[in-house]
Amino acid sequence: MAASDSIQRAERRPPTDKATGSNNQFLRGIARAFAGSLIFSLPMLMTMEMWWMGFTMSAWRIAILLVVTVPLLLGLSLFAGFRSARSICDNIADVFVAIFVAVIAAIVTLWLFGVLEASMSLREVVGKVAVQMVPGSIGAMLARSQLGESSAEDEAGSGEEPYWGELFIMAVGAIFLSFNVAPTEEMVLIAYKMSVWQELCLALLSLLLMHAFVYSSNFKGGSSMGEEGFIRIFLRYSIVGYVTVIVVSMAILWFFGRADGTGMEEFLSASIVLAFPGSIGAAAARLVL
Amino acid sequence: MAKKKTITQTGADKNKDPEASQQSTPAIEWAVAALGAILLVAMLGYMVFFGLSRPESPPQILVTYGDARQEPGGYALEFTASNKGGSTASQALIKGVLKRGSETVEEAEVTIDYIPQTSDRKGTLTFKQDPSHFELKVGVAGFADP
Repeated sequence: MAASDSIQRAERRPPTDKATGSNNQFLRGIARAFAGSLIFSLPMLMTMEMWWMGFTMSAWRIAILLVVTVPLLLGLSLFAGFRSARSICDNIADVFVAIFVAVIAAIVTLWLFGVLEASMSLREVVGKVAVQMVPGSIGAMLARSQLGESSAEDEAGSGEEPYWGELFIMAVGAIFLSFNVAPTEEMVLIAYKMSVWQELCLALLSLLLMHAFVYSSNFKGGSSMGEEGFIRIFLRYSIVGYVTVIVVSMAILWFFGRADGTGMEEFLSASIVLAFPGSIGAAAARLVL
Repeated sequence: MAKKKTITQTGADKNKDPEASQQSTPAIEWAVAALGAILLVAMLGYMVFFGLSRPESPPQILVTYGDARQEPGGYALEFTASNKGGSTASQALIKGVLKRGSETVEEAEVTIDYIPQTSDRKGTLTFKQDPSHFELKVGVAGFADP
């Protein structure tokens, strides 16, 4: 309970000193958020298909994507947040700070890359920034909660997450890794190249890898392994987790227009291909967060 | 978790200061959060406004150009392709034709990867002969949906 000690210590400090201290801490947090936003979104900031998404996606889809991002970040803040005894207001503040950081990081980077130009319409500029804002803000949020601060507190908190909270974390991990590859042409190309049997094998491999990750994370955590058997973990986390990842993959493909005018079989196979990195991301997120 | 909460609450009670319980959210954080909220609402509002005011419609490419410029290899004609429609055109083929009467003297073409809705893209067509001596026609030959 090192964290509660530090809280007590902070309370005893005079108010003015405390205010500057927390301001400094906040500025450090902002710097960390910028770093996280860039680390996580640079692959996408440097992918041309991702720039094109800014104008090929319809305005409505971008609007929906922006709306969906807020509860996503809020959930991430609630489940992976670093500050204990926080109010919902603190979490909401964190969400908008992450959005601010991601938007600024995207504007500056894209402008330096020459992807944003004065001759472009506002629609194009806003679209490009909005699409990049999603992975960037997840990165910013993760950086503020994961890089630094008190890790002992995180460890303590991670065991107490509710089941749907864990599924949520897995979905975020899937979104995160899928976003990296989903906009590229290769996604569809790989789906074309694969036979039905190869697709089934890939789905199976995704499931097995995911289970291996989840199983080892439970082993590492120690506590839940004794209570829950192999089959139970497989059903509760691996199967349900994989279904979550498939749903996330389908949603991302729809957002990026990969579902438009595509046959059901092609859409499904693209979803299975995308669910491969997605399931790794989901399992890793559960391991890390 | 329960232990931490009680400690924080007692701390706050002692100080009799509502700010103390949220010591980790300073005013500057709220200011930055407000900016973030404004950015999000602005982007969202713009996209909704755009979606409402400009329903999806096919691309409409308009090519404008000025006078050709003489260069060592020939004549360069700079043009601007504007998409006035409601969706993006991809692989737009811009074609320039020099004609004398019904006879085609020279052709030049260039493909532009993407012309987003309401956006402009610039390009150049090069001719061996001076376009000002002929009848010049520049337009879009075709494009694909992205």
